[in-house]
Amino acid sequence: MSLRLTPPPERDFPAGRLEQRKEQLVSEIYASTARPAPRYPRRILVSVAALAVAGIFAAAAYAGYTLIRPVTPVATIGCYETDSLGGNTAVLTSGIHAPVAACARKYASAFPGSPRPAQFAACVLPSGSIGVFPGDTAGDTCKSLGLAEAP
Amino acid sequence: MDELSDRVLWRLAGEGDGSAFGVLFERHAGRIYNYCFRRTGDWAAADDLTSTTFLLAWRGHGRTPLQAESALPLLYGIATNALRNHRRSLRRRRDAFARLPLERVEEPDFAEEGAIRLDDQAAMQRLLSVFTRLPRREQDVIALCDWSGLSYEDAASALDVPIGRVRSRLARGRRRLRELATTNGPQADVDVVPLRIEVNER
Repeated sequence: MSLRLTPPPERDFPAGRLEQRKEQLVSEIYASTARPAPRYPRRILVSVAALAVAGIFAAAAYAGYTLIRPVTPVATIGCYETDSLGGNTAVLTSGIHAPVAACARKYASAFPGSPRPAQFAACVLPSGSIGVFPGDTAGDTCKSLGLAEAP
Repeated sequence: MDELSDRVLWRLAGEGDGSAFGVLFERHAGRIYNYCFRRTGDWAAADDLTSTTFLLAWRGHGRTPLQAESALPLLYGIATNALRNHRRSLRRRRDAFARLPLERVEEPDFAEEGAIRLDDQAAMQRLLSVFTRLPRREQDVIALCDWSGLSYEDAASALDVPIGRVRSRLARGRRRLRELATTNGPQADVDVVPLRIEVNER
């Protein structure tokens, strides 16, 4: 017996086996490239979408709430010169049980020069207090201002 | 596609063209297969390790451009690491088997393979019984340069070490291997054949 320090000569990869291994490898590559993109960006996308949906719901809920919220018992009401939240306002304080009648009474002295409107509408302001605006129909006037109609 | 360079095929494969990687596999599998056989003395293990090498190459480097013209140095480097892990798992398996009260049955790894491959395995295992007494780093450079025909530059690239270190390890390894073969081989029956490169051109 002798010990040779040279290894046996190279042999071919068995032909059938080579083909089989190649197919496995190629299919693995196609499978890995067909897999969806890494999860990290997808998670971000899902989070952003969830936040957006939550924001939409919150906005809708707030909008709905402004239209139906109850009156906060306050001692003041706002009498508006026109049917606009940005118009001149006269603030009436304490002991007011009929806001529309109170504003109708004070309108001429509060807004001299402006003709007194025939009708007024009482709405719930964002602060929860009552605002009285010139308007024919309380419901339509309040709705056009994005406010709930005062009870 | 067969006429395309390794670098082009590698880029195509990185872009998801599996058939380009298939061409690379066909082109280099034989070299890696023989390298793995020479490190393990086992054709079946060489078969598995060849696939593992290419799969690791794809997963680890498939999307980065190939620096060299040939993919071979990179593949040899990956195969060398795969062999290291293979040996560790083999040792664990062997230890586990040793604890089992089972009679080990040797089965031929390739039913269709003839006596030539069995002779190859026996010869290679005899050589490895001496060769594996060398430090691992010296085994790597001898297996790459002397047994697989890699240039010093390619071996340095495969092992990620400076070329000077390849030369020094090779010189030291060759000397030690001869000493081992003479002093530890079968007494008075050692035929130390000078190392030579045997590479089949493909």
